[in-house]
Amino acid sequence: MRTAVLSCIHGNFEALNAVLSDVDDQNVDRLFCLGDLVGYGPHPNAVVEMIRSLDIPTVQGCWDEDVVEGLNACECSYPSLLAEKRGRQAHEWTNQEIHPEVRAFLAQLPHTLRDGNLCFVHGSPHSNHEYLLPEIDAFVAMERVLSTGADILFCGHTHVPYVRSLDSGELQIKIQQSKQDQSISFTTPLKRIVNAGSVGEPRHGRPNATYVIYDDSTDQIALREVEYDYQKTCAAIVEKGLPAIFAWRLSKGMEFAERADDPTHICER
Amino acid sequence: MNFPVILVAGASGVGKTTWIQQQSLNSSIAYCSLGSDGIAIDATYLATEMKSINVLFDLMELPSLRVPVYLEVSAQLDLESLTIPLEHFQKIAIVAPNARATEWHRWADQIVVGIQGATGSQVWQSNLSGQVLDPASLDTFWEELTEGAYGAIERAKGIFEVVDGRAFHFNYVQGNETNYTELNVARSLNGRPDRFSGIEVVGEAFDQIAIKQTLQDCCLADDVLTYYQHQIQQSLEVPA
Repeated sequence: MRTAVLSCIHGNFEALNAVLSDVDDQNVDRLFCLGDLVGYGPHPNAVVEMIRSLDIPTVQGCWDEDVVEGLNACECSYPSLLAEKRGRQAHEWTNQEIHPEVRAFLAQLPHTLRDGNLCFVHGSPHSNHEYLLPEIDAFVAMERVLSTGADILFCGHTHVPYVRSLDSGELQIKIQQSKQDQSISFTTPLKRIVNAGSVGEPRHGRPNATYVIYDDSTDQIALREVEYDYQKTCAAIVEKGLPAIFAWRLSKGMEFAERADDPTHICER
Repeated sequence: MNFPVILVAGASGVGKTTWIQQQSLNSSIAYCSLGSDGIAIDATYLATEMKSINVLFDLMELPSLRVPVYLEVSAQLDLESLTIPLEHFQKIAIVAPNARATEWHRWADQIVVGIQGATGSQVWQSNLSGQVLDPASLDTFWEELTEGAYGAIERAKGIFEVVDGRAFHFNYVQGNETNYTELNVARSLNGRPDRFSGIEVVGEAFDQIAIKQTLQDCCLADDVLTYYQHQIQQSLEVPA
């Protein structure tokens, strides 16, 4: 079975359409979406309607959560004063733009989806806002996968796609009881974290959309990069009254405002 | 005055300040910037970084000097209408490598070849004295500015105060990497700094309103500044 996983669409309808077309060409059997359907981009309602109409199993992203519950971010959401001001501008615009039924759809999205040995989350199993960066401490990475009971943890949120294999999966626990130390150790089979990147707001230096395809018959994971007419999205950003700098940053493949750069940070939200 | 006075002119970013700096390597000199309209970026930079340069902020000090004096003429000054109240002085123009028969060539006694400077006619300056910036925001702003987010920028320079009390000189000319220099000044950790900081941008058809707004968004409010300065002061305190 071939499973396509996409994430972080951020109201970029042009990019979503291009990815869905590419998925059609790749003999994919099913699709999962890791959230952040809205935020920053100019077409939040259209994106949600598309995901809903195609009945794509979707988890809630941090932006989806913020639109439903209000802003309550930990410092990791905004690494600078400028990022915070821009993020708040985008949040307020999106909050006013989305339709009630869209908000209701976002509110009922689950935090986690599980299918066999696969688990799907937006940020991490612990929080929609936690960044699982590729260089995160191996113990933390292993703990996050083990906490789901799955072999492969699919996540998004960082907007940079990667596959990380955790093949040294040995944990040792030492317990001191009275005068005797007791050690318990166990090993786990290969675990993986797969980040699907971002459909609508890439941070890899090019404006192209990214997503992944997992083939369970070969156990292979393919990172897909899809070109699309990003200038249409850029024009819509300006036309809709969002900050013009978002259009410029999208065209350069740079994040709009948020950026994760501290792999040791644990989200406190 | 028995010591030479040398006027140095040229387009923005062509290397005037760098050339004057080179003249100070073997002997003490004096420096004054003409036409910078209170945006004393080069003068402030030289005053803090080059101990062999006596930086003047007033031409009235000229007669008392006993070292060669270099007067840097701002690219925005009209050379034809420039009047210097001295009988003898030398005029040196710094020009781009392929420049021929420019106004600088006609004006100067001597030509020195520098680097490719700015040719755009739009200039925007802002005095930022007293403003303290969030360093991560400043990085983002400077990257956007020099990568063209606000239009075609050929030259940008500035002195910026950041929240940990340090001041930095940023120096960018199109086609080159930005040079960043931490200025040799005392940390400012007691309220807003009372020394000069500012920015100058040269290019063509750039959005100066957006630049101004973004810079404002990088600046810390009073309460935030007080909070961070208190934290930094505590972290810098030497244990007894």
